[in-house]
Amino acid sequence: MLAEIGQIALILALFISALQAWMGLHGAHIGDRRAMVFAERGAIAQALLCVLAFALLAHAFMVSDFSVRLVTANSHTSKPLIYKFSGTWGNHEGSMLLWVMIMALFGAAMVWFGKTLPAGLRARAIGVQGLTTLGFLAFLIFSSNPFTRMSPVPDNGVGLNPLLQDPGLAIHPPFLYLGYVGFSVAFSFAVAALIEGRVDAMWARWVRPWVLLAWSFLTIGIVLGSVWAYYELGWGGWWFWDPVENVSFMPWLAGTALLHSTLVAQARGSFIRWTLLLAITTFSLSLVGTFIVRSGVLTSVHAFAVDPGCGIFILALLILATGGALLTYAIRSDKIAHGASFELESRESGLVLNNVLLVVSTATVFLGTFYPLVIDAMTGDKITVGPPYFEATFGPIMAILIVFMAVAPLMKWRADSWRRIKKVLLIMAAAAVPVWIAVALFGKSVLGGLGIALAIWLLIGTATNYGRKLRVGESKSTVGNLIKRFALLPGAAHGFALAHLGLAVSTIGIVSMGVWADEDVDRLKLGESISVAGYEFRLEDVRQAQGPNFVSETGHVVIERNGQRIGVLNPEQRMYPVERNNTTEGAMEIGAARILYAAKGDGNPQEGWVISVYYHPMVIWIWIGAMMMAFGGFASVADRRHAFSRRTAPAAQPVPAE
Amino acid sequence: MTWSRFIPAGAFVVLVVFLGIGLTRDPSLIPTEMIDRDMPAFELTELYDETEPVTDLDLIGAPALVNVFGSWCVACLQEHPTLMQLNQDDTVRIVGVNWRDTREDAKRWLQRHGDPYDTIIFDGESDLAIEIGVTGAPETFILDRIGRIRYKHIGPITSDVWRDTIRPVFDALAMEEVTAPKPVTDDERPPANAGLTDIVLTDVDLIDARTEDVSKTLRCVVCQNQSIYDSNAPLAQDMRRLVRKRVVAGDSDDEVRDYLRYRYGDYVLMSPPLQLNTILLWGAPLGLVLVGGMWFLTRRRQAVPEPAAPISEADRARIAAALAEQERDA
Repeated sequence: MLAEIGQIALILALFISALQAWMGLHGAHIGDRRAMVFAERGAIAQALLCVLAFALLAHAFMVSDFSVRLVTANSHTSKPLIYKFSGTWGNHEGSMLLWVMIMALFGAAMVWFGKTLPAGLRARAIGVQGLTTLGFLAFLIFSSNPFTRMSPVPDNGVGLNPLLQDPGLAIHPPFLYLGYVGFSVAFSFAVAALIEGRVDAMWARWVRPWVLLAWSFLTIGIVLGSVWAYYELGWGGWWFWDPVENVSFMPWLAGTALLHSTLVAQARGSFIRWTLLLAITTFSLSLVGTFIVRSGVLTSVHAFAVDPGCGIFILALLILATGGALLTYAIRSDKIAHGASFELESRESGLVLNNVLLVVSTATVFLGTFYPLVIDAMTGDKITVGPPYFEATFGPIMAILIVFMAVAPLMKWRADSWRRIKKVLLIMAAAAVPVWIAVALFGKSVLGGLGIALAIWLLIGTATNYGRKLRVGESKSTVGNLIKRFALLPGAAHGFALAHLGLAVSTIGIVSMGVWADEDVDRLKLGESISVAGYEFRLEDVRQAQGPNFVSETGHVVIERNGQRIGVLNPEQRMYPVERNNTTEGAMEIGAARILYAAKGDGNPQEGWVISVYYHPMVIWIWIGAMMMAFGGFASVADRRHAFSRRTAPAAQPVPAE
Repeated sequence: MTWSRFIPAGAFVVLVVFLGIGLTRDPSLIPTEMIDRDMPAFELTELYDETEPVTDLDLIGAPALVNVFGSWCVACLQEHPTLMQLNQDDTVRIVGVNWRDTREDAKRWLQRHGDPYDTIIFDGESDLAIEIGVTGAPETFILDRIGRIRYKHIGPITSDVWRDTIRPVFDALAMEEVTAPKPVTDDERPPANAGLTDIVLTDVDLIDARTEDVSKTLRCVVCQNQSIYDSNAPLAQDMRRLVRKRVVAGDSDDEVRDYLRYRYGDYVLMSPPLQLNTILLWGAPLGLVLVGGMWFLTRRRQAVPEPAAPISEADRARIAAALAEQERDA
């Protein structure tokens, strides 16, 4: 009965979204107030229905209702309750429902926070959002129905892939989708603005917080995925340039470009067309990502259901959404005026450069990801584009970006001169160059030294900028005054500093991992050891144990350095009898400057066990830096210059009800 | 320049075309490099009798169907009835390659399901499998009477596959005059390699380090985007061992890579080689940076001209005040 209610809720939501789209777009066209109000109420009703459907599916999972086919295929009674719940979105249909629910909630949030907008723009944006949601609801209902019943009802389910039974992965998809889907708001507003043929400064002020919000969520989602892959997959890495990782990274890169271009649009009224195009591109890349993950056109460790039927449907959605938006752009963008001019030595220039480099890096990742597919389609040749390609191409582009990223924010809007910031640049160089030389000598890597030096360059440039805003060192810089100035600074200033410092911190981690990480693998009998980077790992014991829905074999590995005991690692291997699947639970000794990691493979007492050990310098800095970026984004959302600043912080609103 | 507004939509159409074509392709299917090459030299033993040697010379004489199988392979069981039927009809010579198995398991499996093979080569550690570029089981090679590989089928041979695909190949081979082997061009010749029994390197640390380095640059052909160094798949383990053997035998890193590339194609290289079909891939990032840089400089020149209307002193003061305020805000 409950599953049928969920089904009906989805079908109702489908009808409402169709009405919402029509009433919003047509109502705005003919200027019918009542139709526009209807569209707004429709958006809210649709969100409530989607939340209801999601709650009912989650309920079916939590009470193990095996008459629902999806539950049978993806759950089991012996699973801990938390994973029964997270299992709701640990599969294709359920995750699609989560996607749709978040999209509908964003639609409703556009109504709640859009009161200050011109009625026409608001109605059109809500209409476009309704149209996109309509496509996904149709996909859900006609091609991937989560509520399909099955009969006879089995006694128990098939279980959930054990790799997904992990707290990190339980919350990874919701954050990722808040990011992917969050960009749909900017998309809807871009299309609405094109239909209106008019964009004012208000538009950018209104869109920017949504972009920041989506971008921050996506950042957290990617961090969670990276952390999960690091400790759960046991491959000893934090990023593999796998197609599915790349498709989450591309909207992030494009979104980063977008949130910088809205900065110019908001402050100077320039780059409007470019910003519209980026808004369309960013959400389209999210759609491409969904297509890749669910269609099986690229091989990946993370791929979902590999089903070409799904692929055709999503491709159709992509054609309608992106194709429609780009066509609107082609026809209407000449209505949008060019912005104010600026000099080469100006902050706008820096932001143009930022956008050029970010778009080129997005294109590079795109090309590397899709090139095997393109070559296969054209010549039938099969090639591999692995990490070496991305490291060789993406790395240098990022290095150039960091050089300018430290400089551009020091510049004034419209026109400035190098002379004015010469002193700061000299200080930055005076710090970075010795760091380069020192690290290159001690770390025996010129490129490693360059990477660290770039991070220092960025760190000092950003800190100087932040310090100037706080007017540190100027008259009356008492502690009390500084605190007062700190509180008075707009959110974007804090966000800028946090995010840019975050990138510096991440860069230190990324460079260190790339250059100085070390690892070894060997078959160890009890009492034997391997050493890596001066650390000795000795296998002292291996024990079996019984978990809630698995059996495990755990190694007892003692780490010593120069004869001194540093810690004990307990790498584990789990066997899930229901799913007939094994997982590796690596064990870590976490320090600020390094992680010592051990993973255990198969083995026996006679021949020994396969033990892999890793020395990973600075690896947590990567994630700490990325989280700083995410919180920088949140800080900027709260900026008082944004259109909904005096209302409650929007961060709390679009989070799905649970 | 109104046409430029259509560039994004045009680029998107191209993308959609490729995504659409991509939907019709199986990305995990790797075409073989071995067609029209001689069966490589090998020296292994018979499954039932480990003292009985089998070499590549034993495969010459009549067309043969060389079938790679294992008792662990589920899909092999699916094609088994077809092979049994073929054996009964005695239409072709069937040679089995028992891959990554134990002799006991294989014998038990054949006892239970029947043995359709005329000869079975035991290949417990992928020696022959890697030589002929096997990526999984079952895989079936068709050899002509002079021992050249003429066709390869990936996946089970169902009766449909036999009738529609494989039988026509055999029919064509039967009609074929014994032709002299096609002269091998330098391009196709297997890369020169040291004999595997040679021991040139003895420094264990150096061997370990080089095996690790080379393994990281080779893709595990049965995995998803993992190098053979990172993967624990059985074939990856065997390839690692092969890499090590070749390093010990004195091959350079490039020679080891070429050895596997000759058998598995460019697919096996983690870093795509710079060649005709990858020029765009390697050239585009630099090209885009240059184009972006040029666009940046030209766009600025267009934008620079100041508005023609003179600005009054009062306006100037207002603008300065507004700019100052903005500067404080930023």
